[in-house]
Amino acid sequence: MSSTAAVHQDDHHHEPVRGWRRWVFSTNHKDIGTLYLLFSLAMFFVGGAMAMVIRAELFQPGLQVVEPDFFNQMTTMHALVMIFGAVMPAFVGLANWLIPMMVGAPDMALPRMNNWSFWILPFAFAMLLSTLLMDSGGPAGGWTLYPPLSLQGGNSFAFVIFAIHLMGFSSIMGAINIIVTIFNLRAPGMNLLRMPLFVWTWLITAFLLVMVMPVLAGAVTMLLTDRYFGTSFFNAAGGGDPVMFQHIFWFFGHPEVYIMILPAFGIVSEILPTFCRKPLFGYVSMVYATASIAFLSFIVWAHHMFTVGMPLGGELFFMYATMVIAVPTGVKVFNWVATMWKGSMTFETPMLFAIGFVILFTIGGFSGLMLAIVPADFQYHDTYFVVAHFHYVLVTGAVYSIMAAAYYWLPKWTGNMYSEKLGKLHFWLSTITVNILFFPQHFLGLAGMPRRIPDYSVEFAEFNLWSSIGGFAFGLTQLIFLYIVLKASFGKRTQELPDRVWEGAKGLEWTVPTPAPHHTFEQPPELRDEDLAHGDVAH
Amino acid sequence: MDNVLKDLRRLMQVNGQAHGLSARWRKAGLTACLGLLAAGTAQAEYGLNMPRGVTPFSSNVYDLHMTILWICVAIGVLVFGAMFYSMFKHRKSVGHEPAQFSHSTKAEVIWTIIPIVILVVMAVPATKVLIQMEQTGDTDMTVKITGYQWKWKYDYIEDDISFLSNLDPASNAARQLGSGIDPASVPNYLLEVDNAVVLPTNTKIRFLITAEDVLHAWWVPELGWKRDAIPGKVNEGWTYIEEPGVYRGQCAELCGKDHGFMPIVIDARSPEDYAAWVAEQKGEQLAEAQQVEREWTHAELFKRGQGVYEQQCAACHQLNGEGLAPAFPALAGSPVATGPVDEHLKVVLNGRPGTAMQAFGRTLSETDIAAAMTYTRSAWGNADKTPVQPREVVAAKRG
Amino acid sequence: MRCLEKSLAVIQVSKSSPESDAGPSWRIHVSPNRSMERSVALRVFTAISVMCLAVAGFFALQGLWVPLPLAGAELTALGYCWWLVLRSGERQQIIELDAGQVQVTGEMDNFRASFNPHWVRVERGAAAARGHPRRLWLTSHGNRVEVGSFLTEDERNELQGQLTATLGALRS
Repeated sequence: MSSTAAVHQDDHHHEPVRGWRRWVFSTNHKDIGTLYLLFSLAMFFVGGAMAMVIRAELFQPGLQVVEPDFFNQMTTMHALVMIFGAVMPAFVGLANWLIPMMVGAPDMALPRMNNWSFWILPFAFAMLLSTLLMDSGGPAGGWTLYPPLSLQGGNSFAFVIFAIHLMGFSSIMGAINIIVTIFNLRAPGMNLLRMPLFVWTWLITAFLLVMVMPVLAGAVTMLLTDRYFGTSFFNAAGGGDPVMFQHIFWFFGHPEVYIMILPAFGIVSEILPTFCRKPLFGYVSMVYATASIAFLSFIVWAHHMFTVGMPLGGELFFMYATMVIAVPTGVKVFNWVATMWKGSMTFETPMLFAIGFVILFTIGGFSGLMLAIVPADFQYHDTYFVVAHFHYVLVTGAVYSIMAAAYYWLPKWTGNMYSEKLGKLHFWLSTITVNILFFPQHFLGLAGMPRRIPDYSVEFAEFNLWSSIGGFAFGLTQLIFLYIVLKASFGKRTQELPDRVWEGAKGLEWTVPTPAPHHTFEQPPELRDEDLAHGDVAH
Repeated sequence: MDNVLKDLRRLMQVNGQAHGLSARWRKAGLTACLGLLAAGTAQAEYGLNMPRGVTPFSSNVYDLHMTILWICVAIGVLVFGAMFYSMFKHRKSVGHEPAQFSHSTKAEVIWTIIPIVILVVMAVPATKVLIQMEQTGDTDMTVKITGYQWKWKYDYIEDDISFLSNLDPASNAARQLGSGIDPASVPNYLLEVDNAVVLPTNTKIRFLITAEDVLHAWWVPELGWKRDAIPGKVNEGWTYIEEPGVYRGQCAELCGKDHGFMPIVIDARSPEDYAAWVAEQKGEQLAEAQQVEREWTHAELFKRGQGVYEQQCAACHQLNGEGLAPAFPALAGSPVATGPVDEHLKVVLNGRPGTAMQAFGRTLSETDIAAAMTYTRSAWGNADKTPVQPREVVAAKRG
Repeated sequence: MRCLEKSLAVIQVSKSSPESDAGPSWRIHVSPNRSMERSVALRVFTAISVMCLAVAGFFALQGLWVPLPLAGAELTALGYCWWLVLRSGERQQIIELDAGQVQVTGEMDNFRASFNPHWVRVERGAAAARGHPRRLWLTSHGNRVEVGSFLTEDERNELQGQLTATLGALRS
């Protein structure tokens, strides 16, 4: 006879080390997750401050605030900081906190590498931001670093490339850790098709990261050797081809876009069923749709560069492939609507952000579909229409999902419930202002305003004025979020919260105490069907 | 509906002439109202929608754009309608009990197939228009467009005319940081050039687009397309302008600090007027050629040189000759501008590879180069008062 | 537990029938929980490698060869990390205790050690390196054997408790 020993040792839970050592030397997935999330929050405000400079300069026609070169540094840095500093670390932080808890693992598979992959980031960003203080200024050639322009700047370029390499290292280590954790550390019974969708989307995201990071690292390395070591990979005068850089960059860049949105799909798929009190609709088709989107992301890169002058066949192929993405993305949106259909909905802040995500991300998806149509893209390309498009998918898409996630799991992380009143205020102010900020940019682009210009013709003044006002208001609104997060994290605990913080919440993370203790699932948990987010095991 | 729009537009145009901040605010409010109305009409203009343009191709693009927009709007209404219905009817506060269904193969198949059908419907016209766009053969004339930081050069291949096109001086003065000039007081602020591209209407014109330094993109919305200008690569495009008029556009690919300040202006004229313009250009060219041979005084060259410098050089080296460290060196007191003429001439003619310094030998006339050099060698305390004669430039070019 | 297709408990204790000659005996099976077999992992890793190298190889054919060695380095790192985790997942130890002896068997390295149950002590040492869990020893007369070297701190705590309890029961 055998019996499984499942003795709970509440008496010898070792407490984490106190003080700075806890954070610097931490190998605990929850601590590292917290570090990632706080870092991301800080970078969100740094990148946001740069956006404020941009919107201040664009408030009126004429140059009032900054020189054009500094304006270009701001647009470039805003993108790099938001993509690599705010959105990606936020998702990695959520992965760190949640994946072990969701699959019933005690920690990440490689905890010390986890520590490394976080602590590289502050150095990478210190280096990146320090270029703004150098004589030659920060990078001003756009975040896409297209040569030959990106090679024209001063020696701060080398620092930028090195910083990007460090971010790449960090991402690769994070991805390796996530892949190995999900494959090898699932609790007994947690087979692949029982995993929560957040875990699925992150597994596919990690796979995308492994695929494209060497391509990015290679591309920026070749820029570096072109600049300093006399190679001619992208130098037309030396027999290279600047267009090849665009191909290789976007081969990385398009999957990168999905790296920033797939985990968002996962988050929304966790939150909607909770507040609809109804299982997620079409779990399996969600998994297949995510995998299809990931696959398609490798064969659509050239839709970012339709205007470089490709052969007709190439333009048609990339147009069709891009349009096909609408199918799996559509399946996801329809499944979310079907999840809401005939549910029993309540509208707490995480739910509001999740619904906001579905609607506003879909609007971004529509403009994406329009951009896929090559002849029309010849008009849209490099205008504010594109700026509006990717801000709808990144701000009201990725960032909204991160905020939804923060509100949803904040009580589990901190043991404090946020103020629902403030949370709702934050949602409504954000949603109103973000639309004032980005919706008029569609009109600007259609009417002929190119992107990345510091000054514009008088006919574009009205919408830019609106957009700037929306921008400042959106920026200020985020201070509410900062207050809510800090209060929940550092404020006194005022009430005892149940393990299952939300009435309808499913998933293993809701079976551990609130706030989650420093160590969870030292013993593989017992899996019960009712803990699965998608209920129906038989599918 | 249309009448309301027209009234609003007229109202706005009246307002648009008064340019106090409060007027702008009122105008902004009206524009926003118009924006909402525009959601219900396809004919909205005034900076809300893509222009229909003046070529057969551009109106095809416009139609395609509107078709897809409306399809998206229709899908959006259905999807968001279902969501909002559900949010109002299926909420806990109205006592709705949650259903427990979690999949339906039938529904999932339906909403996979229907989007595919819609996509095919979109793809067919898109493919047609694209194929039409790529027909660059059978053209009546060819214009080569070259992008430079930060100006365009146009070469009329058949007529052997060639000139540079810069941001016009009035816009350029107003756009300086803290210039104190109200942009609204400058006609066509940032969308005006010194030399517009004159093109004949009702003629199939082929464009060859390239760049000398970094990437640029040549875009005039009314023509319905843009193309990247890429160093080492020549892109093709074509147009057939149906209506005479002035059409404005801008560089659309980030090309450095003055990316926002290299507009494009097309002056489309009837074939007869175009022919007259060509003859006029020819005459000017001849006069210019005769000028090269004569002896110029320092004062003549200095005066002309100041104009050339402000137009061609000041963006980088600045009006005061101090440059912008570290990328753009100062000319005041610089070893090149105060050193031997031969060396100076070499730099100006051939540029400095790997930097923003262009090979002006390929873009400026001999007289302009001589004038600009004379100016830089004797302005801002540089002391060389010997004029650089256009002849010397010709000799240096020949090697 | 209908959903458990495979019992992979970390510390499994079985107790034989107390009526046997030598009195009751215990068998403690220690192994970490791992959810993927080596062969499956190898297949997944191969698939990832083929795709990743195909992409880098494609660019190398265009003359952009730099991503190729970087992809190789990255896959090496992924493979090494995965192998480390798989290897630690396959480790196991069996500790058999009865009135006559305490025997420790490590199946992977065919290690075997035995102790007298009346003299053996359960001890904790310092961590091998910072960030590692503290080591857990069975010691007797200057001989010592580390047990559960592949477990986390909490799992070791539990094993320590289990061993102490079992030894106590044996001695009583």
